[in-house]
Amino acid sequence: SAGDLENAEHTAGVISELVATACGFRLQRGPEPPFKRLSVVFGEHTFLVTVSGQKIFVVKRQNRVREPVAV
Amino acid sequence: GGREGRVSGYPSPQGCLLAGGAGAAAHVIGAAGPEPDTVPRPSPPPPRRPAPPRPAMGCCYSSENEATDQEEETKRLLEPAASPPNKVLNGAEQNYLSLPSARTDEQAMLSSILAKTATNIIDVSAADSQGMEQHEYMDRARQYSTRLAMLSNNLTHWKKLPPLPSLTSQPHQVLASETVPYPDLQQVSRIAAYAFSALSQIRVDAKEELVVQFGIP
Repeated sequence: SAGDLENAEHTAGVISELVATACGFRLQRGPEPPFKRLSVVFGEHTFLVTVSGQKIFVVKRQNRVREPVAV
Repeated sequence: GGREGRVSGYPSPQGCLLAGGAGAAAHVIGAAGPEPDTVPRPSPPPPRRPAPPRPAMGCCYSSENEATDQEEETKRLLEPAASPPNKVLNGAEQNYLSLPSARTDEQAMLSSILAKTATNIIDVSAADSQGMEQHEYMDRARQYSTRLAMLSNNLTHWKKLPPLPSLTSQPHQVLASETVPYPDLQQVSRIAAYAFSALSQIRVDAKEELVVQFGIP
């Protein structure tokens, strides 16, 4: 990995457990997990997580700046 | 040098079978000849019969006497080598008493090297293996397999994680696509807050007495 997530082993462990738990959810009794991507939203940034093959992909993105509301 | 100079610590069989006992015990352990520091020598050098001069290169022996010495030398060393080192120490006196004749420099060095190696070597093939009977063997195998089973129970926890269902075949596209719209996030947060407050308001509403009297006429 690279960037802010480089060598982030603790984060990796937490996100792995998150994904493993979430993949066990079956909201409508279907055969597959009911989601394609998992978003962990923080104040300034968001972790986007998905699974492809046997690998977990994690991306950290900055939250889009919300336009200030014109008063 | 001659024999006299090098082998002064060796008592001859004629003179000192008893007096040189302590010294000879040290010899058998392996401090023979070329290690004067470790051998406790008897203070007066024991009287020896005068020996005929030997050749300097000691391996070629001309007399029959020396051949038999060499055979006895190797024969005696084999028995202590096969047994554990403490047996060599305990039986040192008996070994000494079986010394029939004196040795030369080279033979002494050879015997010292052999004895040292014998005490230092741990012979795995000759290890005492008579302690394990069939039932002991089966018990140990059972112990090992139960311990392995305990450890593998912890390992199966790891085995549960890998079989992850594949959510997509295009991870980069999925991760790069639009993030969750902020209004949706706000709505979810609001709903979660409602749920939390509703849960916190769960309480017991006592309407009647819990304990009542039976109306027994």
